[in-house]
Amino acid sequence: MGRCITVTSGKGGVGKTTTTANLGMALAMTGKSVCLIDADIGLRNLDIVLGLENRIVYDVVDVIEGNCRVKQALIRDKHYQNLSLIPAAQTRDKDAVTPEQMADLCQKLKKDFDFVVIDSPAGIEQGFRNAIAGADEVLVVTTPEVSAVRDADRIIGLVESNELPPPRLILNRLNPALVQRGEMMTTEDVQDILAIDLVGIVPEDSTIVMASNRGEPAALSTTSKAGKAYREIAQRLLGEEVPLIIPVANEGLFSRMLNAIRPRQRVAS
Amino acid sequence: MNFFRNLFAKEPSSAQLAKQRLQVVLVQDHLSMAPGTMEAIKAEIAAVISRHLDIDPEGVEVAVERRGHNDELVANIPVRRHSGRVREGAAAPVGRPQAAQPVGRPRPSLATGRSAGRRRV
Repeated sequence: MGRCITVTSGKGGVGKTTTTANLGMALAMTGKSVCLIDADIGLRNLDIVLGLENRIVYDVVDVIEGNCRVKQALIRDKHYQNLSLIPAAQTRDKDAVTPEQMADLCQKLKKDFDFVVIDSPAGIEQGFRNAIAGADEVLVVTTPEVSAVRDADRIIGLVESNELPPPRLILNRLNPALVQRGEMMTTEDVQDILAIDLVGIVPEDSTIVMASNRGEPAALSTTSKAGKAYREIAQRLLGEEVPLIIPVANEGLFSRMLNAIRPRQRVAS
Repeated sequence: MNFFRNLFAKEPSSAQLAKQRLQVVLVQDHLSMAPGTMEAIKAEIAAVISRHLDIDPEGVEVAVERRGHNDELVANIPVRRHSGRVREGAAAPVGRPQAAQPVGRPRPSLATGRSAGRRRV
């Protein structure tokens, strides 16, 4: 029996789809069988990030309504045969699916896959409830920005009230240079506020945009820092002990000197 | 280098502001509290205490702070000495042991525990 993991965030645009695609890929790279579900019905996206947009025949609503068998809707990844996607419906809305139906589908998929990873839509309504209905565990993605952290806090409360274990946190798009200048909240700041376990820190990285342009998740790249961070998160999900290292800015001598004399507030004790 | 930093330090960094603002707004989110509630609580506490003690109503500070897994309402109420002077830094704790009370002004409220408000669907 596999594990069903939902990736959610509350706020839109913090990297849920990127995270789902990369974690799915990274888990598949370890040899596990993985099924990704795009639960963002009406705003299909996971397919294009994975480069599978031209292969869609059936979608998750077709599966749930019985228009096709589960196997017919599964799209196999180009790189790893053990990675599959069930895309979201593009022409339907979130009410086309109920939480019970989603839970049922997850239950079925868990028999055939080691991991079922669900990409949740933004928000806290029906789409979110569908996305967590079948989840065994939840990963909350946030960026170190006030709006994203506030929404993450709300989502954490909702997950816990749904009798799920406390979610784990992925801190996305951390910009070490900004943190160093005191212009971005630190990893500790975000952890202090949200008070849940941190499962990974993904640095801000232009290779993420390049990777989704190509439809090949950064986890496949050996040179992408973000890709490495995602592979490490996958290892942690598998129970391996991988030390969490907070990314630091790669700065030249001149900017280091400038930083040293730049006005900066002492840290309040 | 610390000397230079302190010399130039004027305002809190935007990261510190972000954290402080979040801590305040999350207290309100967790308790489903209307924005004016804390001021009302403050005024009413001051009114009750001042019936029994000579306090400085201007100096009353009330905040919800995170203590382990609980959120606690913490009040700092400066008591006037008989001479009439307000004693700086000596705060009268309400409902909490003296030892745990930070001296002086309360820290900005920290409330991210598992409060009932956050559990709401």
